[in-house]
Amino acid sequence: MNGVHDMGGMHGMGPIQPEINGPVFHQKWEGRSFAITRAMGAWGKWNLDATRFQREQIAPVDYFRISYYERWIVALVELMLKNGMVAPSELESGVPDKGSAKQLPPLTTERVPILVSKGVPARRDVQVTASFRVGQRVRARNINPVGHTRLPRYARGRAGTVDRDHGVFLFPDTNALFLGEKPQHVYTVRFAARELWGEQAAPQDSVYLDLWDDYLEPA
Amino acid sequence: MVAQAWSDPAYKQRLLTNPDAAIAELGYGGLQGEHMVVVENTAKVHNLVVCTLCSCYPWPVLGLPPVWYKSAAYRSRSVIDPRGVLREFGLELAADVEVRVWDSTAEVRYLVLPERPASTEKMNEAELAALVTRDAMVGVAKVAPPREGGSA
Repeated sequence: MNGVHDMGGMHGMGPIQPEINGPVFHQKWEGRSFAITRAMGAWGKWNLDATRFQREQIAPVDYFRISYYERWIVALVELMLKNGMVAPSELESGVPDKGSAKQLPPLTTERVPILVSKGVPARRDVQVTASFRVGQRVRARNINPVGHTRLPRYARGRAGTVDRDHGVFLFPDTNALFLGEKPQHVYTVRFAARELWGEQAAPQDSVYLDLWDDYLEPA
Repeated sequence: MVAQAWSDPAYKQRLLTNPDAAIAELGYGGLQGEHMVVVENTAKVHNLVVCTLCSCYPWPVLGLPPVWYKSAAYRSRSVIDPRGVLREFGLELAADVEVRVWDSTAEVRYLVLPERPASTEKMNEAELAALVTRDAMVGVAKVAPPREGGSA
């Protein structure tokens, strides 16, 4: 979706505010937000792409008003509501409804180190033909899907060169909507900065994006 | 990892060509770092990592991202004005340096191998490691030579 999360190239966001030796979490609830999001994800009712898509659907005014980990909680609550894991009345009251099922989370303390060390690989060990080869000129398609996509607006319609082929990965656009993994090649594509931004960019600079086969066409 | 790459050319080669295995050699890997790419900064090439769409960041090697990495200012401007962003971090690049910005749009995570600073020829790996900063591995800073107060 063409949302405000797709920020590459926007102006007006102010100066960078570097923080020297800042803490990982500035408030205790931020750490809890991180942990709860992980724990709820372990139910397997949604996936990483669906989570990102849910965050992207936060209304633009709220997206900018609330902080990073608040977005996590807002999106998590929506996903829990959609999946019947919490009732609106429970969110309102802060306590379980009478008779609501109490379930233990599948992510137990013992399983946390396994999740963290093993990760959740998105690469798929299946044979899929690559439509493009390293060194080939390609163009990012001019698509504007209303669902989830990882093709930023600033690259659409722009031409670049395949820098490397990372192999086969699940496809976020379909995975986010639970329409299947549609595994396909992911490539790093190099775009000259001037192709993206015009003459204001330095001639030798470039931006590299990781793009799925479905995002590309021959240039 | 960076200090070992500076000290051991064979390790550096493995880190650049087979990063997942080379990183695992030192015991790192896992969630949000399942598929790594390491890019090398030199006197002529400066790499900078961003995620314009959310805040993808290589957790196993760098930890969770700092607030500025997740900020709208960094996400919006790194791709269109990397030199201006670096200037705000106190890093002025020469006009003839090539800037490569890596927008982490997929599940590949990027780590910058910073340039080894001058006057460190006699330092051992542990001393070198103490010079390396997170910011240098994202590409918003260089590793400062010793005696200049460090880059942290």
